[in-house]
Amino acid sequence: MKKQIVEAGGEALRPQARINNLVTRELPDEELVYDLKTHQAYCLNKTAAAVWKHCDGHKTIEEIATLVQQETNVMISNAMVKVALHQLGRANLLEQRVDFLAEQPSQLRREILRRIGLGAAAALPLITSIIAPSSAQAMSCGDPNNNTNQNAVGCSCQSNNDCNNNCCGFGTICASLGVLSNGSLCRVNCECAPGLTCKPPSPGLPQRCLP
Amino acid sequence: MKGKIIAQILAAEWIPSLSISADELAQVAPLLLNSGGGAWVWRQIRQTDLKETPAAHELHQAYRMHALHVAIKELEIARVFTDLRSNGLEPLMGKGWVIARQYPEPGLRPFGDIDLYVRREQYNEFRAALQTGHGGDIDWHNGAAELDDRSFEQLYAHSQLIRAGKVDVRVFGPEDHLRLLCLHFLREGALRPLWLCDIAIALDALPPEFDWDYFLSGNQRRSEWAVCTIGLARQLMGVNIAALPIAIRVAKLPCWLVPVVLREWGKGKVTHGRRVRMATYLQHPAGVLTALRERWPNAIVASVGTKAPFNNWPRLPFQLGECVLRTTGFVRKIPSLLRTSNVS
Repeated sequence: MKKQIVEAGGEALRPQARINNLVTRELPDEELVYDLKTHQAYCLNKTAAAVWKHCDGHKTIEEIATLVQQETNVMISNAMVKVALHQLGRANLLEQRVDFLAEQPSQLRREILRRIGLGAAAALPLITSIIAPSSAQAMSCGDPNNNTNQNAVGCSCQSNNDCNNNCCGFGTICASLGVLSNGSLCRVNCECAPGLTCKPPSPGLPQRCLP
Repeated sequence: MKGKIIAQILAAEWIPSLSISADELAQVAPLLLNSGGGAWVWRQIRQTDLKETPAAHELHQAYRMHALHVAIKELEIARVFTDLRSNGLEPLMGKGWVIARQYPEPGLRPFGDIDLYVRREQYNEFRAALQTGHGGDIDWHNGAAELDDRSFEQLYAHSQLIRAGKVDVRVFGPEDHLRLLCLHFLREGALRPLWLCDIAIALDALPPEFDWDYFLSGNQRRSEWAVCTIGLARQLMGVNIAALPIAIRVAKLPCWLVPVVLREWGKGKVTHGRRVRMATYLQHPAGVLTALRERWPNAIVASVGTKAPFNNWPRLPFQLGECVLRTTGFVRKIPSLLRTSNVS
């Protein structure tokens, strides 16, 4: 991604949203974006989502601010749009990342809060990363006695063919690929970290991931 | 105790007087997140004071993640069906996305795999057609085990086309799907609370033309189990089935059923399939006692495994019977398992 340095206020800038390799889902008060390239997930609050939506490469910052204000019924300044653009750029959601040299985002944010007051802080554009909690899918494993299912990681298996990642690991459970470190007990090579091989340290001993 | 709290939270969609404390939520949140119910619980608590608690934050994140995940999976589902059709193949899809789409919002019901059911004689053809390019997201079902008291022709005849993104996908008809959900829930020992939610959601979304005679046709023991599961959804989720023709049949559940389900939910086990296979202990005997204890079948699994009626008789004989059946099957396999492990 190109980086565009904006020396002055950047009011003439016409930012363009990235559309390729992104999956989006609109929720009542926010928009979720998943980057298929980097496998990062982001949550855009209402203001950030509205700014992003209007980044079509034609509208200026001022025009975007006006449109977002009309849609959200909240006072939106150019500075708020700039903060949004800064965050969108950092999340790789713009065709060109923009840096406002003259006004650092933290300064902009302080300036905005001074003007609109803390009570309206919820209107500030905000983009956060989504980190999945340790939630399993509601999946079920196939019948371990019936090799016809392609099982997910964690399910029982008899051969690599039983697992959807072709890695039937130690304990005959479909294993995550390449996660075992040097010395860990293993069953097949695919379990071991890159550069390691699953083999017995000496004849007769259980197999371990070894260089 | 935890099982009861989980049931109370999940049922808040149908019984809206949720009264649990932040501590109680914190207690059960990991179990719910781990079993895929986090997003559904977020929906139940997001209008309450509980939404500001740390546990709620985790549940909210789960909701967001699942909402995105569903969007990504829909693209994958469309690709799979397009690729299979270009090879002249048409599978039936069930569970996962099929039930997730009936929830009130996307993202409330996560799913891992795309469950595709195919005729046994076409199984290899299907597998070969999607050999590359679809990662490991497909859970192929060689036939439909829970519905094998109906022919595949019947299943196709009752199937429906519904929209997934830009493609129409073929899914089980509502009667077959509800029966599948019920029997799958039981076969898996009622481990995941969300699976009962699925049944409650499916009951809420029954089309007016739902054919109860067809739903109840086939193996009568299985029909009886399915009806019991609907009764369970009424009792634990609070779904209203008073207007359904089977309402009288589901009025009385066997006395052991609800306690078993709540106990399983409280334990927070994920699936039976995540256990180490018994064959492993032939070579590494340490831990075999724990493994045997883990394999003690709950009353539901034992009843289904031994094809027993769901009545008030004690379940211990069926649990013992199920153990005998499994052990016999395992012992028969030992020679081939030993041969396989020697080769590898």
